[in-house]
Amino acid sequence: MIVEVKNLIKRYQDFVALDHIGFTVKEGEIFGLLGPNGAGKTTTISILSGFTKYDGGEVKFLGKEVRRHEMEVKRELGIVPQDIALFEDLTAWENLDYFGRLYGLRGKLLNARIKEALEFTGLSDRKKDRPKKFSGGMKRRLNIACAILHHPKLIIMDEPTVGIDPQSRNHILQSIKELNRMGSSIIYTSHYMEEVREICTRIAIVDHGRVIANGTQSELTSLIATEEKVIIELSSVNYTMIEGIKRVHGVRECAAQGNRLEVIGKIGEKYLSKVIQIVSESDAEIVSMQMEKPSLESVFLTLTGRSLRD
Amino acid sequence: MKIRTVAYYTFLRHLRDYIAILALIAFPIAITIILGADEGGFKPRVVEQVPVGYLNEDGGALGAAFDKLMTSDATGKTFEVRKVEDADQGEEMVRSGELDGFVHVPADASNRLNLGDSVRLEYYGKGKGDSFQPMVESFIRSYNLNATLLRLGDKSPDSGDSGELVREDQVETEGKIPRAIDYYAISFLLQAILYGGLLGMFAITKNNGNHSHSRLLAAPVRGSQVMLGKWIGSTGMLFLIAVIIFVTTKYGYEANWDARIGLILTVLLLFCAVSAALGMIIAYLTRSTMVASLVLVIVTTFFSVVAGGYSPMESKVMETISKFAPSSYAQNALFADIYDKGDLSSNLLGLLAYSFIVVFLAFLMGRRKAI
Repeated sequence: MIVEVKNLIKRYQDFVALDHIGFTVKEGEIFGLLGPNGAGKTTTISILSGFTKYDGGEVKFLGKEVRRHEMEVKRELGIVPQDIALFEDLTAWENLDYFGRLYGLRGKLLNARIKEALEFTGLSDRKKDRPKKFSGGMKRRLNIACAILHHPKLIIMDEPTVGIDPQSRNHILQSIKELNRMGSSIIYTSHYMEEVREICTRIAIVDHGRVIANGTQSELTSLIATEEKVIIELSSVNYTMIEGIKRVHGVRECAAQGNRLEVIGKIGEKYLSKVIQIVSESDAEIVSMQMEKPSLESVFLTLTGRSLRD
Repeated sequence: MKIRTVAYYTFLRHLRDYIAILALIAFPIAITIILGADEGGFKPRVVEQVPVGYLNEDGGALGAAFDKLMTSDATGKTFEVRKVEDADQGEEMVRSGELDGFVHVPADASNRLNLGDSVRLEYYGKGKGDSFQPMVESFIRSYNLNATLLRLGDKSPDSGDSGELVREDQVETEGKIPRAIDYYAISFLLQAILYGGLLGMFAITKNNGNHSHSRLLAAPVRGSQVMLGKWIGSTGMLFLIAVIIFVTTKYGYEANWDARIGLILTVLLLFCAVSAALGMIIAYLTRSTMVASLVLVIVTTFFSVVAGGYSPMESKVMETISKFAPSSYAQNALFADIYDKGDLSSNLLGLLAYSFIVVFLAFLMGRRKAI
């Protein structure tokens, strides 16, 4: 394991931000941390990054307790904070030089690493420019370059694609996959499900300071894999049809949006043919039909929705 | 190495803040030139002659010697000498303030002296601050001595060159009393350095604005190293500004900086260190650029006023309060060396102690909060 978090507690006076949170990150994986705003994922990231102290529990990096081996741990960590953390009055090269030196790099090695980081993030031709002249996407890329300069064993990325154009986002996601292929483990937080779906090998869902689900994508979806959604586009929809479908055994819910029906049914129950029969009997034509299997979105909404109501 | 890295890049970031740097350099030079053109209270006052009177009733050697003294050119430069006809009149003129002093040489004083009797010269004066009495006393001592030499057989009594009893000390004021431009060149340079505490402040608060503090927090570098690096970088930049202002006022506007160059640079460097540390302390306490700037302006203005930055302060109360202002130690040290006014070593030590205390305080605060 590269990271082990056990029973992590963080309090802000009376408010418990992290309530016995626990998860592990394996070497070589991209680990996703998902949760709504205020769930505690930024606090968790801050503790792992060394910004914030914690009040209880254990955080280990490569088997070393983070509190006791602070400097050693920091040398192996690369941080991509959510906010752009660059000196706008220094050039791209100078930013990298500054941070590289703080991580102990010097001389030819430092120069080589700077060139490598600029090339990796596609900023070689902008090395003499200052970040204030960069677009949002370029700033994010330089933000990443500063984090990977020293070839860290673990890279922590806190929403690295917020507010940037799709082209830059794709570039960043491809870079993250490449970094992982090169040997870095990554902890990745994002509100964009498609990003997490695309790059993360394992995911933890956090809410109210606790991990409420943890596993691969298929493991998470199997948690709520009891229902499926059928979307039927019709020529017309009426009240009688909807009430008839609701009474079919195996159908939990039926809702209409214009001429579009959304039918939620239990997996394994043979309700679909009955639904089609009811639609045919009401003289409506089926324009299209598709089935949605449980997704990460539905897992997220289901689990956090239940927790919020609690 | 990490301290050096932080110091270098702090210095570079300050250097690129062109507007702040230009303001810190241009403002004191401009004010020095403007205020320095008005001599105002900086011209040395012309010392007026002191009105004194005498009545010489002795026709002998003593009387002749006293006459010679009172009518000499040297005496005339300092005193407005008047002959008085009557002893009572002379006493009355002193009481009324018309004369500052009056001497009566009694009749037959020389004869009595030759016979071995003691002779008393009557003197009437203001008392405290009387400048005429010491001259009369010098004459008496001198004449007594010469009289003794005569008795022992010395043929040519030397009553002393009466000119020597009024020692003509030409007070050379040039270079010894500051002109307006000399005064303001120093005081406004020190003020500029004090205001330059903004650089120490920006070294802390700017990081909050651009979130770069989070990257520094995550890096394997201690808070104390970051604090020291920022302090050194800010001090270095302030010192460069100070040297530019010093050179400009000395060679461009011929302000009097006639002190040892090593001393000037030492005082400026120490003061820059104090100012940078003060700015950092204020930043640590307030954590807000706007609030910190306001506090710094208030503190700087207070220190400048009590240290006589805008005009010389001559009051016991101000002198006591000024001991809390670092600029007073710096200013007094420089004035002590240039104008022989005040105690150089105690002010230098005071500045050194002040800088140690302030930098240590900044270090204590910064090692945990530095970033």
